[in-house]
Amino acid sequence: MKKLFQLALGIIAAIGGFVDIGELVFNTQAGADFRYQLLWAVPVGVIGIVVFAEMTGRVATVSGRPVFDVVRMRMGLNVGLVTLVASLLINLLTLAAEVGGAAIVLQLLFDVNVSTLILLVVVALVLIVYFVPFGGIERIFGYLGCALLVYVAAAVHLKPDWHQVGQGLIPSWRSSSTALYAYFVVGVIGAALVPYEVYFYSSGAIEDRWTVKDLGLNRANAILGFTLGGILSIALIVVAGEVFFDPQIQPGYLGTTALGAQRAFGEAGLVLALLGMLFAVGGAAVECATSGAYTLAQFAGWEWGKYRRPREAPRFTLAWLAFFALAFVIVETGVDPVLLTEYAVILSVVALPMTYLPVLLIARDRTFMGEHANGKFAATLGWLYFVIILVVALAAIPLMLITDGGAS
Amino acid sequence: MPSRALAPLVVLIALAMPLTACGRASSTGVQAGIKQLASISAEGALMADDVARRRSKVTFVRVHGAELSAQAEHEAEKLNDDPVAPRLKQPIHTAIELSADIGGAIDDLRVSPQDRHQALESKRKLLHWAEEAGKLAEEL
Repeated sequence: MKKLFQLALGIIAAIGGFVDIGELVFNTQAGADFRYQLLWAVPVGVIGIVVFAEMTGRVATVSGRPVFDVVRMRMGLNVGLVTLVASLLINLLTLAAEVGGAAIVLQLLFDVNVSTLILLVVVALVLIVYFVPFGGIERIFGYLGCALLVYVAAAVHLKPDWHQVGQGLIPSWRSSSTALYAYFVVGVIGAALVPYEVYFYSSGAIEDRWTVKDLGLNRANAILGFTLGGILSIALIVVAGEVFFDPQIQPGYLGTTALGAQRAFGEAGLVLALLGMLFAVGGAAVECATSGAYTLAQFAGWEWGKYRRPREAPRFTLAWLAFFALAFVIVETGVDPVLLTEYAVILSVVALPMTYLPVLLIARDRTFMGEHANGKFAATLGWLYFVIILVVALAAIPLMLITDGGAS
Repeated sequence: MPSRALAPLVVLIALAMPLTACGRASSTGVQAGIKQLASISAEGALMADDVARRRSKVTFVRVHGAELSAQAEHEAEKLNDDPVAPRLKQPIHTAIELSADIGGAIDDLRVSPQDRHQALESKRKLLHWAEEAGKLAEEL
């Protein structure tokens, strides 16, 4: 019973924690530009994150080694270092986008100067990470992020053509606007597959002191949590398809995403959407900052973990504080968080194979994983996704340049 | 080794390059700018409709309206500043005039978000200008 309760709590937190600024931006734009035609890309991304997260969770649980420990061990110092630097840069860009996004959402709620709000967001997040334990952080942001379920209600309320929605879930290709379509395929898949979520997830397995007895919980959390979270992504696309496709609105702001909920439920919908966004991007910011510190500490072999007191893991603590400070500086330059998000998602797609491959290699290694190594099904799915990730990674930058970042 | 020392610089330049790509000397670029104006106007009309039906929040109308209005102005500046072929000058002139109208109507909405009559009027105008901008973009 206790396990079931723990599982339910984990799933609720995963639903609320699944969406970040990447999904809010890319899925709204995808729905506005192509109505339901890109819905199929959501399950592709969601299955990818389930496969990747389950494997990293299993590897961390069985071996006690989180992602970057594995990266360094399998790829050696030099290649590992390149992966580390790329991951840290992308984490920082994503963190800046999330912090900026949270400040914009607060501004939409309270109409206060955005610079002040950026400072407020950073201070609030630093205090939360410093004082609240790991499980508490997951739950605060995960549960409150569930306010985004207003988009699921809005998607139903707006009465879309369900037959067309169903057709959108079947992979298809377009003959016109091919590059733009492909760019959003990459964006929607990439937004679901952001690596920091996986670093955070695998580090969380060690923070929560999972043992092999918890492998079932790991699998259930990854499959149910991310899959149900994916429903939020689908809802964002459906709402954008209903509200923005016909008037040919090109969403470029978080306010536009919020407008979709307002169209369905008026002011109540708007407030719920903004609160959901605030906790979703706030939670993602915490995950980004701590993921950055986790990766650095795991790679360098420092003491790390939120279960340790800050003075017991001083370099880890300093690292996440530094991440917040750098993100603050980036956002205060006035850079557009939505634009930053687009680049962060596309660049994270490019770097993804570098962390995915070593995890895949170690997850199938029986000398390392024993009876918990990948079976035939997990291995096939794992390699299939490696190919998908590779194709998406190779296409990402050229498509971003050809379409001018999805603008044309 | 110098090539190794230069690697981080190359990565940084590669990361920064797309951020600087904002020229639009071609008709496709001009068309994209005008479509953007149509989009802003259509979004302003949706917001005005919600204001007229008392289904929005004052802070949201003010802040998001300011974003849309500033973007309309920014699009007009880009259309004005970029070098274009002579045949594109007239549509650009029309688009710049439209952007001023669109920004003005959204600003009216922001100034008095409680005024339902004003909101209805803004909605009507913005819908009309969205259609005009859309047609102008299609003609290019």
